Amino acid sequence: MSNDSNSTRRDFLKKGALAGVAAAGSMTLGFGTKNASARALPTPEKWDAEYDVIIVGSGFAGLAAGITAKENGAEKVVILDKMPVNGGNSIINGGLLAVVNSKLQEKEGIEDSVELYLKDLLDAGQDINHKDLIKTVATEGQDLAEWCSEKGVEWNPTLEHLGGHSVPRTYLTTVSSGSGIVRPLTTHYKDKLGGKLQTNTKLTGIVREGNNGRVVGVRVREGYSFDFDSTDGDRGNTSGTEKYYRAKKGVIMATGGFSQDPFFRGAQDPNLAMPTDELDSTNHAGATAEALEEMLRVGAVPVHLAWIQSGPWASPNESGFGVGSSYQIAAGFRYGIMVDTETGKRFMNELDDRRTRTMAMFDVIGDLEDPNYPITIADSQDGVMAAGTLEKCLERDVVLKFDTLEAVANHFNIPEEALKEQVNEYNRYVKEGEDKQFGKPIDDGMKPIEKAPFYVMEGVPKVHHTMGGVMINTEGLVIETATQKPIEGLYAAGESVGGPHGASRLGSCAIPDCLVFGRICGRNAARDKA
Amino acid sequence: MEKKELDKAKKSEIARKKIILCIIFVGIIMGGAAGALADVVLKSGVEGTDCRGCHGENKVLPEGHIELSGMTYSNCLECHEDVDVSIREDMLLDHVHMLHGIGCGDCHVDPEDPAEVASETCYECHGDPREVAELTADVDPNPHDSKHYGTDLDCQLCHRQHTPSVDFCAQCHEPVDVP
Repeated sequence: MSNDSNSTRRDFLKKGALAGVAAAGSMTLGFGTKNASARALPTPEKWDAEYDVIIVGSGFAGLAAGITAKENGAEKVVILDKMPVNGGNSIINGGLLAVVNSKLQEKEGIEDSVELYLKDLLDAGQDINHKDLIKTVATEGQDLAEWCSEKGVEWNPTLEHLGGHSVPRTYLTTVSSGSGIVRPLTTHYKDKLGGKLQTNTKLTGIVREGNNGRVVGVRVREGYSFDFDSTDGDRGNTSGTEKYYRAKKGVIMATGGFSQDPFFRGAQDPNLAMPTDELDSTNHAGATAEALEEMLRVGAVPVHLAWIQSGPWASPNESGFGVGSSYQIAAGFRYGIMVDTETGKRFMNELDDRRTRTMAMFDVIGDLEDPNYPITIADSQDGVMAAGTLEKCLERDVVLKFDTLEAVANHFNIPEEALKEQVNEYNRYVKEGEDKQFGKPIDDGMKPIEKAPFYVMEGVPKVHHTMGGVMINTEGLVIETATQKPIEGLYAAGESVGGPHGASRLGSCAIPDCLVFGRICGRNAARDKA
Repeated sequence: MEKKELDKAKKSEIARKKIILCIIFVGIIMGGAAGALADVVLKSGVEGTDCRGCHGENKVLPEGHIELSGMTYSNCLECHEDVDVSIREDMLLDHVHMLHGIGCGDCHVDPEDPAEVASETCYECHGDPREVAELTADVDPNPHDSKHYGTDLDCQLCHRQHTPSVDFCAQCHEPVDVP
């Protein structure tokens, strides 16, 4: 990269920092900025397009909002996405949806309750969850599996049991990916409901009436072209043409998290400040902070920004979420054990919440320059063989197959006797129904590890989810610091919101959060009498 | 007989200059990618084999290369079938199209003021996304029918014409050769 382009980018960043109210020069004339807290864009002289509801972001939350906005009478609805493809993280994720008191739980004879679910969520969240919000997700999310399947989503016929959940309660799409939800919902929104979805359109500003009144529209760059070679979250990209879109009833921000934003995530945790080509994440390249920053700039309350979660189930032998993560979730952690190859011993409850496991694994891994990756060892019991991505993992050497535990020990230089002792000890616990070593929940489907061949996967945590975001109320309205009240016309849902998950999000609880609050925002925006 | 001897002579010439060819081609295309060919003005209506039409007096063919005029892509392949001297790997897609007789105006509505070409234009010759997906059915993951995006992706996300193609899936997956 030449020096010229570096200094151009720095100059832009400087201007950007001052640009709270700046638009094209002529727009700011005559609009006073006496109110120091007013950082929103002033109303433009002319709107380039007019809509009833504008939704920013085309993942789970954005699509749910688009669907209910249309269903509740909003005529002109548009979902915008800055990327050249729709679906953001939602379309590449694991496709896992937690539902309490579901049909599958009934079928599998699993006793569950909203209270137990909330207890799990609050335990993992270290009790700093915004309880009003997470209760809404738990209670209103009970119909999600059917709401999705009515629109063409296909679910596996058995439940997954994810870390941190007391009982199995997680639905999984037949394709083991969130695309199994995004694509049917997108088709439903566009074809059945006549909704509009526009890619390559990036939000660059939120317009508030009279500077701190109601949100009445957005400023965007149409024809925006994301630079996939950037390693700083694509800050400084000014491609596209500036336009102003009016939103007569409301703007719904479904803009996701910031796992791929070195500056913003590094500000919360300096260990994460490395550029995106040095610190791997499971997220798509567009998971950056600028939309969140814009909401904060117009006055939204920031919540839990420092809580950033890494997924403990990833593989160091592939990029991103890959095929290994699904295997580790479905099989490695559930039916196998994870050991430190230096000692041959377990070091954690393989089904603990993500934060606990991540920290335990980083302890074992040590120096990232010379990492000591722990491994999961599973056998060929039914639960393992049912893992949807096992074959792909074997093809890509993300999971290795061995005929004996001795072979495993040899390959990874594990003290053989210690390993065998550990496996025997664990097997005793499985037979007794209680893990006295680390308290891993043992269920009826789990068998001792003894049937060859054995499957082994190396593990590493990857930056995965940003629990923090803006504050909302149970109607999905964004709350501002200036008045501690909702900003009229501004809604948010999904990962861009802070609060529901507290310190650490439980696996499979993001999708229900996105869908429940997406639905609420869409419905409320459409019904707004504005 | 005569043609066979001519072919043989051409082939041994190419064999001798194999390494130089590769360096020159790679150098030119890489240079092009970095902007060194910024003085190339893509002109509509130029014949595919008329290098000077866009490149002007810049040398783009190696020393001693035969005259191209009137040749088609399949003529090129008569000599260039040996993978060591593959022209396909180093050639931008716009050149490949031009050598097949597809000019600027066949894709761009107004070649004098060219805008981005919609995937529908590509389908006209290359078949619809389903048909394209069958061509790469043995690639795993199939870039044209992936579990994330199905057959929905725009062709231009990977297949660039006037700059080197990129691999959109390589953000997470193992990179593959993208024509």
